[in-house]
Amino acid sequence: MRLHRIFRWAQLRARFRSTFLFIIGITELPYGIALWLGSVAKQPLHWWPGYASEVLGLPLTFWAWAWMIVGTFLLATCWLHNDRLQFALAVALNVAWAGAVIQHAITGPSESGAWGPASIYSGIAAGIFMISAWPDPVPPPNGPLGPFKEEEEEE
Amino acid sequence: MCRTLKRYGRRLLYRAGRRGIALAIFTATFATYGIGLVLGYKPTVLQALHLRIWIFGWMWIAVAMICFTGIFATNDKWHFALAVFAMAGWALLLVIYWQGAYGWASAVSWMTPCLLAVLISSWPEF
Repeated sequence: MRLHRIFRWAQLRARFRSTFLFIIGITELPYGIALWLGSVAKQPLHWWPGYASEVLGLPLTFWAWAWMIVGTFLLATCWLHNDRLQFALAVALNVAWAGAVIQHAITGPSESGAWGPASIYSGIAAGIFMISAWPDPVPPPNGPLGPFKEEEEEE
Repeated sequence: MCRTLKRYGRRLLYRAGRRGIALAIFTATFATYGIGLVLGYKPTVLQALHLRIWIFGWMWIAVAMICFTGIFATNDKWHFALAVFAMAGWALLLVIYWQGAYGWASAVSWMTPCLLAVLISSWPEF
């Protein structure tokens, strides 16, 4: 019964923008952990940036912490109504990472198509940028979540 | 000239809608990644399901083409479904066949757009 109440509360509380930020946070955190594990690994790694000591002139550990901190920050603050900073941070980190991939492809060891992964991070950054301008949808008056409160107040 | 282009651009964006723009972003991402794989990019997986990686590159390009057809479509649920299926499948493939220590990291990168696609697909246009 209590679980049902908690679920119902979460359902009413959840907003699309918050859920979006939550998803980004919950995936950025493990990526940061993977980078950190890569930076302290003793065995040789064969994937970029695992084998790189520096990315964009900064140590890999710095980037690992950056991903982890941004991920944790997004998870902790995704429920806030003022989410401009969260969206800006998420876009900035993904754009920087896409730039890092392109820089690696240009200046790193010769590997054809190394710029490929940049498309993932550019795509994520573009998606976040677009969603940041996308308002939360208004639930229908007789939808599964019940009547929309503001409409009731107007009446 | 510039004003006409701007007007056409706005009309195009309006026709595509936000869901269409999301599909356009997926199209660009998949096509670029696919071309990268075809040209020789090696992810943390070198061979999977007895197929060379460049074959998956062509698969990504095919998925991008199908997603492209959904940009201006009113019924875009199948395009979103395909995008989600492709990304989830690729993430699963990377998780199963990864080589080298912490090779699963790249699967995490693919799970982000995959989950975002699930969310966007349930987001109404206005």
